[in-house]
Amino acid sequence: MTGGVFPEEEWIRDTALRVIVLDVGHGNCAIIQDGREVAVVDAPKTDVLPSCLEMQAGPVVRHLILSHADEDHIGGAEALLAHEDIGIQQLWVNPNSQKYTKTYVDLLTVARDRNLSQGLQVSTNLNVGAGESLSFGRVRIEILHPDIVWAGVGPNRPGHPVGRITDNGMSAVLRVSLDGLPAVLLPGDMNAAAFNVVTSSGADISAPVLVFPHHGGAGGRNDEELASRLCAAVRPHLIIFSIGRRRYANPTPQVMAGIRTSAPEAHVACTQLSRRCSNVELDPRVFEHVAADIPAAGRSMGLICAGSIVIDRSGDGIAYRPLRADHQRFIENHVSTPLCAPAAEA
Amino acid sequence: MLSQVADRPLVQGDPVAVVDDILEDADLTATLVREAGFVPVIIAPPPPSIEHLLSRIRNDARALVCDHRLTGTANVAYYGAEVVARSNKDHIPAVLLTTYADVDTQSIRRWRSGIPRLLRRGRESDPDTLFESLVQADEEASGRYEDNRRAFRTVVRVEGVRTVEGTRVAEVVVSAWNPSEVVEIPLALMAGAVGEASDDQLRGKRFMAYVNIYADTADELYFRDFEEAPEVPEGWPER
Repeated sequence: MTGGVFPEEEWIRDTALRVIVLDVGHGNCAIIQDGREVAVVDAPKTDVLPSCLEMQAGPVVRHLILSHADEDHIGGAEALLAHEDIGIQQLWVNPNSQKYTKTYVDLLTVARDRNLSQGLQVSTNLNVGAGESLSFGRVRIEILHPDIVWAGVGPNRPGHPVGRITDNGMSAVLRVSLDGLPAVLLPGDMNAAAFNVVTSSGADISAPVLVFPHHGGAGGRNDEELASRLCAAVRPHLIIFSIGRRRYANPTPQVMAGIRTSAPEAHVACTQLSRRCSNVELDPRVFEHVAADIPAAGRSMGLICAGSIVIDRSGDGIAYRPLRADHQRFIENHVSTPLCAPAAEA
Repeated sequence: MLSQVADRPLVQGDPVAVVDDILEDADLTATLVREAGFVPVIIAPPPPSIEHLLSRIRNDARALVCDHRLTGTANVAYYGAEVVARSNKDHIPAVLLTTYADVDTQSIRRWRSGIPRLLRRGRESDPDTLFESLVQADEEASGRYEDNRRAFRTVVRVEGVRTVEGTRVAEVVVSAWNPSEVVEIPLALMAGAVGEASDDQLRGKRFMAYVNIYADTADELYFRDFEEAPEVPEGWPER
């Protein structure tokens, strides 16, 4: 992983091959781009996603992939499907009888409307059985979870013969490779049970960048153990927490402890300033370290830590911005109690 | 006949019609219009026929600032919201200025798609805001909409139907805007799509409509072109 030199071209260049982990506040959203073709993984309610897509004239959204049916992953999908300037070719959703809410049916109704009027394809088999269906151009997207059995059963009640499957356990786990190099693991809200299924399958989940599942919090009593095992399996250089400070105080100290055990050298980057790290909002002028050309939800509110993070296929490896040194300098100068600092371990 | 100059952008110095049923209020608005750099043309009280009023506006002004409740002292059967919407449709930029924005919600909502800016007397009645609002209306007249005014085809779900001050209103949810907030709209807006459906049949029913889903607040929302929504195919997704 090359952490030092990052090409400064505009992200809209036709040859761009990258993953953008957007700062959307609490929620998840990633744009996977190969030139003018993109896939969007998760769409929480935010203006940032359509703004980012609109920056690229006439983007072709090959896939809109909704990892699971939680609001912080799908709340903006309906608006995105409705957006006339953003053409989406295929929607991927997972069946979830326990989240078959009115809002979810609204989303499916819009999808049906686009299906009839614009030929939107809707796929409900977002599981390992879909094989390479998500890959396009120089982008490979592996579906590592749910497996066929879990997909067939879906979220269930305690006592089920297959075992307890929760909404978060059904979250799709995706590994993105750029031009042959593993780049980012997007595990959505994967929990410990799902992690066990993934690892027992023998799948290679290593990636230089890990977007930590469930925003780094409230996974249960085994947060530290899961974080430790996950980092040992992924071996990330960069660990991203996609968080907003207003609703939850993520990442939890337990998660951070697990990371310190298995990935002590990893660069930890939260999209927004955690409540645990700073209780003040900052002057947006201090955000010189973040990608200025990519929208970020926390920018105008003075809440950015790493902001939107761009992971780029560069030269022989994978590079990202903000650069580690720049991010570190920002933290040293502006964050009072950084959870990611070595001193926080004590 | 000033409508001939509508091909150019609105500029300070242009005549702006001020419509109000109360002359004293019209004078206050005229002062505001003058401070915003325009030349006020007072029409108070408005004529009984909205057609005559619109014709007069077309002839005498390049833009319009209109009160909403025009029935106080004038013998008229229309609201200012309709005047503003129809004026904008005629490419004469118009804004609504009222003290009843939070009270007359249904009569305003009915015409909201044609009202680029709704200004509340007092806190939003300053020269700068009025100028910006008229410029925004002029932009819309040229087909340029700000993001919060652009309408997209989306789902409108009916949660209930009730009568408010003699008007049948539907309580609806627009998930693409905010899945957690119910908005009331005149049932008349949906008339073509509703058909003969009873209130019970409407409850839970979904429609497709054009809605400005990037609106910041509920009172900015407008709705048009309702159609019955397609059914989600059985087993799609498999449950």
